[in-house]
Amino acid sequence: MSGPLIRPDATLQGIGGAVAAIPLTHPGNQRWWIAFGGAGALLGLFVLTLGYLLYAGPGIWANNNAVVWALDIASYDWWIGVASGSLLVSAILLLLGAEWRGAVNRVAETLALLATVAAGLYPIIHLGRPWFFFWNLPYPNTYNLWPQFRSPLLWDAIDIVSFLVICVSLWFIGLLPDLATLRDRAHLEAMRQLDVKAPTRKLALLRAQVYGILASGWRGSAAHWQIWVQAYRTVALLGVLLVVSVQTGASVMLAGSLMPGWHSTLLPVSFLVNAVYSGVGVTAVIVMLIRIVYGLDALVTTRHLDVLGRLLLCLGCASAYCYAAEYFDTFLNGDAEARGVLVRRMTGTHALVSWTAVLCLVLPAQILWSARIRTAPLAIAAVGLLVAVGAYADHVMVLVVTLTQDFLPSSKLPYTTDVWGIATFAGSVGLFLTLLLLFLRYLPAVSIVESRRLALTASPAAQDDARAVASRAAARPEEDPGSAPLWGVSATFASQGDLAAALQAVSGLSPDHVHLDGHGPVPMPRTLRPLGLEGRSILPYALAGALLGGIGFFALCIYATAYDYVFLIGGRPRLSWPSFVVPSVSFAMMAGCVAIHLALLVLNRLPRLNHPAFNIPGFLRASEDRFFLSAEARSDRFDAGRIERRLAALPVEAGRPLEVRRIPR
Amino acid sequence: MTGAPDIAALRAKLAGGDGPRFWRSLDAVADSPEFRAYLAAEFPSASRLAAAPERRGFLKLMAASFALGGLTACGGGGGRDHEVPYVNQPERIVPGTDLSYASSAVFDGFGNGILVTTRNGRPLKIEGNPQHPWSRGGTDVLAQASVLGLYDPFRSQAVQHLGRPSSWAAFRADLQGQMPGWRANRGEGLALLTGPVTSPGVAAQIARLRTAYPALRWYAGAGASRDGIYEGARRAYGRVLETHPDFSRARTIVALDGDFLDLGPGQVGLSRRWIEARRAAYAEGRLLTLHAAAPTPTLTSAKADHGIVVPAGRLEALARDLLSLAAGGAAPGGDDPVSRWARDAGTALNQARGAGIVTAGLSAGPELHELVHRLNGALGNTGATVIHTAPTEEMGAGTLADLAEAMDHGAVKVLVVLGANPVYEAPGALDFAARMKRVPLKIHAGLYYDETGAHADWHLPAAHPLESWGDVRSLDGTVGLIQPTVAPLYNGRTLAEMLAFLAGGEGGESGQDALGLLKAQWRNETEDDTAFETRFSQALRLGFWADSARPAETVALTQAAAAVPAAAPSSATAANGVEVVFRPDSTIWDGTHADLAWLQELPKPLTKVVWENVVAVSPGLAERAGIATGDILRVEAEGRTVEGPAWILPGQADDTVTLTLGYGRDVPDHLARGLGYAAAPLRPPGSPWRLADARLTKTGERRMPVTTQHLGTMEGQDLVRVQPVGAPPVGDPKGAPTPASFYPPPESQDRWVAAQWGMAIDLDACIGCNACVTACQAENNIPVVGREEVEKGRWMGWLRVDRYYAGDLDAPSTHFQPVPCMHCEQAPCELGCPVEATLHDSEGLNLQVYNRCVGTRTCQSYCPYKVRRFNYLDYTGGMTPVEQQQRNPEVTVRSRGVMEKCTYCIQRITAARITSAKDAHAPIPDGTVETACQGACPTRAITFGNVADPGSQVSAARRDPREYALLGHLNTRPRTTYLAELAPAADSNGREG
Repeated sequence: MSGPLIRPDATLQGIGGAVAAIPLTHPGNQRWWIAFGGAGALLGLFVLTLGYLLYAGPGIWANNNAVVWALDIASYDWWIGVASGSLLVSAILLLLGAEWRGAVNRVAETLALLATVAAGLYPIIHLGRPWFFFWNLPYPNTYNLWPQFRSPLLWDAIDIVSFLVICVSLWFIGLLPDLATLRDRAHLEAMRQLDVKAPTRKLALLRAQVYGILASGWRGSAAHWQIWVQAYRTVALLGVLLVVSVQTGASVMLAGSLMPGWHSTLLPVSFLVNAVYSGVGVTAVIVMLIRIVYGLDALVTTRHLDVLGRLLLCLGCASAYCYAAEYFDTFLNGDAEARGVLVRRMTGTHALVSWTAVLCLVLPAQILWSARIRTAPLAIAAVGLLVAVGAYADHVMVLVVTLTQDFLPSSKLPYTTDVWGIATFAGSVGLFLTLLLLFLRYLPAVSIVESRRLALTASPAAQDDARAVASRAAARPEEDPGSAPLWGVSATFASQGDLAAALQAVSGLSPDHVHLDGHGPVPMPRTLRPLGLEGRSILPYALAGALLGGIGFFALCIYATAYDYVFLIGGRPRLSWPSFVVPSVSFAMMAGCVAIHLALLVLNRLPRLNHPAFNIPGFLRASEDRFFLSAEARSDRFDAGRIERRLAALPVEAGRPLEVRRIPR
Repeated sequence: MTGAPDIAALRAKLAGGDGPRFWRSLDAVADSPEFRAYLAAEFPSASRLAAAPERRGFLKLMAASFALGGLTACGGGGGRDHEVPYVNQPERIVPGTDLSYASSAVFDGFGNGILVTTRNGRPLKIEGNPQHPWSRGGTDVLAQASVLGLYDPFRSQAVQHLGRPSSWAAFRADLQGQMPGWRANRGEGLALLTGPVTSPGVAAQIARLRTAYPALRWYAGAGASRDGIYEGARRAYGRVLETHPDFSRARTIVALDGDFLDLGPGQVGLSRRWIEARRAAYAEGRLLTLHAAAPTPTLTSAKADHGIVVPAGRLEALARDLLSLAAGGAAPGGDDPVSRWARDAGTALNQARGAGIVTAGLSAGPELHELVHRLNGALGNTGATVIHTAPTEEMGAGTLADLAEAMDHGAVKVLVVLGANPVYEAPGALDFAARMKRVPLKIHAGLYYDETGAHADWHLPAAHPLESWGDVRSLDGTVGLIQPTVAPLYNGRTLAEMLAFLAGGEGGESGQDALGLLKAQWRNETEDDTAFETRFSQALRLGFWADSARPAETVALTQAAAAVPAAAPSSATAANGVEVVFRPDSTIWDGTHADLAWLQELPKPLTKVVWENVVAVSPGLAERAGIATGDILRVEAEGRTVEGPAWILPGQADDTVTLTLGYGRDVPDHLARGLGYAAAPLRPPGSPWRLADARLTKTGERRMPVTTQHLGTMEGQDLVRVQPVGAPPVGDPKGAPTPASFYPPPESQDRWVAAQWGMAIDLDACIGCNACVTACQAENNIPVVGREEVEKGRWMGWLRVDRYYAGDLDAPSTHFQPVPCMHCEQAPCELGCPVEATLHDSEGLNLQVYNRCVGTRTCQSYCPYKVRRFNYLDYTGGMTPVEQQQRNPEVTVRSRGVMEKCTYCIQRITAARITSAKDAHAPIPDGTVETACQGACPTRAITFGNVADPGSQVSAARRDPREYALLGHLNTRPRTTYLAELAPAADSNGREG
């Protein structure tokens, strides 16, 4: 491992400033605008292409009687592969507790979300009659029709909806505290501009309002953080399971047929491997780009590069293994048609595509055996790019070579790609890039929370310094400002340890009349015991949601297929239950995710945009570098003075507040 | 209506409450006897309804009124109200019900019996006439496409004078002014040019015309004329004769450039007779072997059991070898394939003396035909298996060359071209267009305003056979009747009408109409009206005059002319010299029907090329000259050139190049314009089918012809199986165990329903003629997509005929395999569809629900047979309204974004089910449901029916040990299965076993 993951001198406020400065002040404007111009042009091309496509039909592509699927499905598979890979990167880092993830997982989550958006368009626009895309989904309709649950395309429809839900959920949960940071910083800025009567003050206010709404009233309460940590990890876990399910669905769309080259049990494995591989590759490219463009060397360090490089190398080897296994298995066990397809892949008219796929997926990663190359940002980006290209070529190869010639030589039809097919893909890239650039401009590209947690664990000394500075500047608690009705008492701390000690000290004081809470910029596990929140878990909700969703969907499939809407499909029996497993698993993940999301909001009483805690003076720093204790009056017998006295009596190094205030209602 | 109604009585009636609640007129209220009489006279069917004015009857009447309302537009033309339906009673048209008329399809002047299915007064579909003694229910592609020809928007729609719209009246007035002059000089300078004439009616009018103008000269010309056949017979027998093979008594057949299975006037009748004889032989455990020698592959040579490739110039030598063998001479030595073939064929013929057939085709020269006649004579086949009759065509016409010469001398003052297109068809040496300029008055009548029309002073639109009265002979001489199935769309006239006008100076507008001419033609002078009408109406119902085939004649060979010194095989001496043979095109024949999009987009049986013709070269020549498919080649002779794209054709004679007719049309705005090349300029006037020596060069340009099949070999698979006679069966073993599966065995599908539909296709009978493909297109509203879309691989045919080669590249064996939807019992397509747009019904049909289809195309990507077709673009939206008239109302017209495929003609199954429902749900009798492809097939290769009924024909076919499933190892359990091709027992000619 080369170098630290974070600079030793990073402070919580410094991290917040560094990351939040991008969305709030847009440094490097010119480069962003150039990139946005390019992406916007591609998006314009997309709009044009889609317009023509909807007007004329899928005949504008070069697809034909034999090659009914070409770039459309290849693009879909590629995008959903990138999404799966990115999601998996983020989720696994989260689940393994990789302390350095902050620099990568926000980008990975965003990529997963945006790639899913791009992927999700394809199953709609590739249809002959896209305006009826919703017929793929089970919904109550006046025709009393059900979709065909045995079809891998239906699995795909369920998969992609589930995937979108989980991506949005994971992305949003991760973003929520950062949005609060942005809100508070934007609010400060807006206040400052109001004071100086800057011409942009309306815009600044609007920005603060938008971030405020998005942050849903997040206050960094200890209870919020507790649920947040659990929700984040559980959604990530569901995401991992869903990736497997989604890639199974996407690969069975091919493997479920009789076609040579598709009809293979290895296909789901190689789809999964190549998907994760391409996802890591694209993530690496984008992370490097952000690092270079925004100069985030401090947050995306060479250690990150090293870890990404090792991941790529490992997946490159797995991909090579998949290819080797496929060749070995086909030539040893396969039938003549499958062997024919394999030979045509490597020697036929699309040999260039096939060799691109194999070479780009297997070879470039091998240079990452060298530690020196692993830490070179450009090398990592180049490998990532080649992997992405290789993964696309792999999808084209798998689809097109089989379809150009399958069983009957008479059905052979040549396929060469066409302008509109490429334009459609380029356009979807434009959509992806446009959204990505907007994300980079308006939202924190690197997770502030994760970076802060990393800073706290990496250099606790810095926090001590911060406290020393703060205590020097601290003022005495003010006297009772008047007879206004009290909401409660607040106390400010410089560290979580102080907050926890203070909470411990006041927790025994008339618990019936006081509601205690802590607020801070990072999760505060040490405050949970004094607050009595230990053992609160979101898992039962997740489990119940997932089980209900999964079983419910499975039952729906059985009911529809075997009882309500019985048709002879492919000679299969009425109760062909194995077909229903994949969509049920996907649906279960989605239902679990929705349950978690609801639990996160309901248990935390969110969204609540206005809360008395926001009246605490200086509370905005709860999303920066201060920790607050709030003691909320729950009855008339609330005794503010007693709490203040107890806090003031604490020793300086073990919980004495920097400041204590009475907060009016 | 008589008398004033009694108002007081009316009031009383209405007030009394027993008058009809809704009254149409005062008389109706009165319900007087007069009104009833009037009603009965004017509206026979309404009078029945009037007696029971209930709701149901009223609705029926209204429906009929609306449906028939459109017919008032078709009321023009006197005397056309006497069309006699073949099957249903002619009292009235029942809206929404098919009505079949027996008629004749006209193929280059020759007839084939057809039934025209009409609905609500619109002809929709051509079926074969099973009672017709010649065609016996079969059809060919031209007959199938003729219904499109009727609605063809490119048809000539108005009289034109000097290129400007005019009228029949103006034309009549113009000619009536000149006719006295013609009569005065006995018709000196008058010239009539027609196509081949077999119609007794037209012949009679020509005779009348020649009586009126004794000096008139009659010429006949056609792109694919049968002059060589007649001239050969004249040389052999001293008179012109028609030659008919009788396959039923034959034990072996030798075809020297024969074409009895190829598109032509004889295809339907001859191929049927051939397959019946072959089937009978198979039933006896032997094979009716076919030996074929041809310079360029044809359907006949493709079906040969022993085929050989011989340059056209060597065919006569080969015939002489056979002749000397027949006379007991020594077998030709040598171990080359040709000598071996000659020994085999000669031995087979000698062993089957009196039961062999030697035949030559349309494009064989007179010399070869003469030799074939002498060969048949020497073998004792003449009179036994080879029958001669008087010629079917009317004789006595001059040739195009004669006409050109007369025009050149200025001897032609008035040229009347009826139903021919000499400017396009005439060999280039005749320079017809330039010579036509010397003729002061040129009159052209035809279905199209074609090249000749553009050079004529007057152009007259001719009536389509589906809107004409007339008669026409089949190849065997049977006189078929032509009756109109719709009023003429564009006020065209039949040839007989126009000839009658020219002869008499009147008619057309009034007086003698086509029906009158027809009746006059066939009415015996001694016959009274009633007797004739009965006889005529009987013939109309049949579609032909019974027993009108020409009787066999006894013939005797003349003394052979002094043996011409065997011309040295004209292997070209020049470095790049080649022999050129000309052939009619295998889908559009001589170009008369080049504007029919169905035929243009019909893959040529051997090359599978669409929308153009190619220059066929042999693999050997291509290798030597460095020619690749798509290279534009220039064929040059006597200063005239033809340029077209090369097509390397396996089975082509080495130094022979094949050019086909029918393309290179140059009529502005027409569909066929700019497609392919015109071969006519290169055709020598003396020998229209062969050019002994021409120069072949590459121009350096390239343009790939568009084909629907890119690979021609089976790649080592047994897609088409071949059953050597007497060998163990090659079919799938019956009762083989089903492969292991995770799932329980499928539920028996025939538990609740009686019928389980299935199809069996006999590959031995399939001659690759494409009639099924066109019939499917006509029946199922399959759109034409155009050259560019086919090039992109989006041909829409539901049924394709795959062509596979096996064996040697230079002399391969050729196999045809029609591939419709297999209707798999375990259909992979159904699993893929997410919206249940494709699923199975209880009768075993794999259904496609168009309005449920969202167009994911999964079904096609899962289909191992790739039989599904996707509407990538809006292929049906741009059709002209007149073309839309042809659409079958029983079949959905598919929109863009929808998958479609063969349905086993489910609309016909449904119609049969409805009929059976009327009979208290009686089982549908075997043979009632005939798919469109099955009905069209001239060789009855397709059997369709209920496979759950062991007594059905399809079950019998499936019990044949030759029966096998295509890609059966995939366990899709297809309902369409195949019967293996037959091959000789001792298979020495490299056909794959």
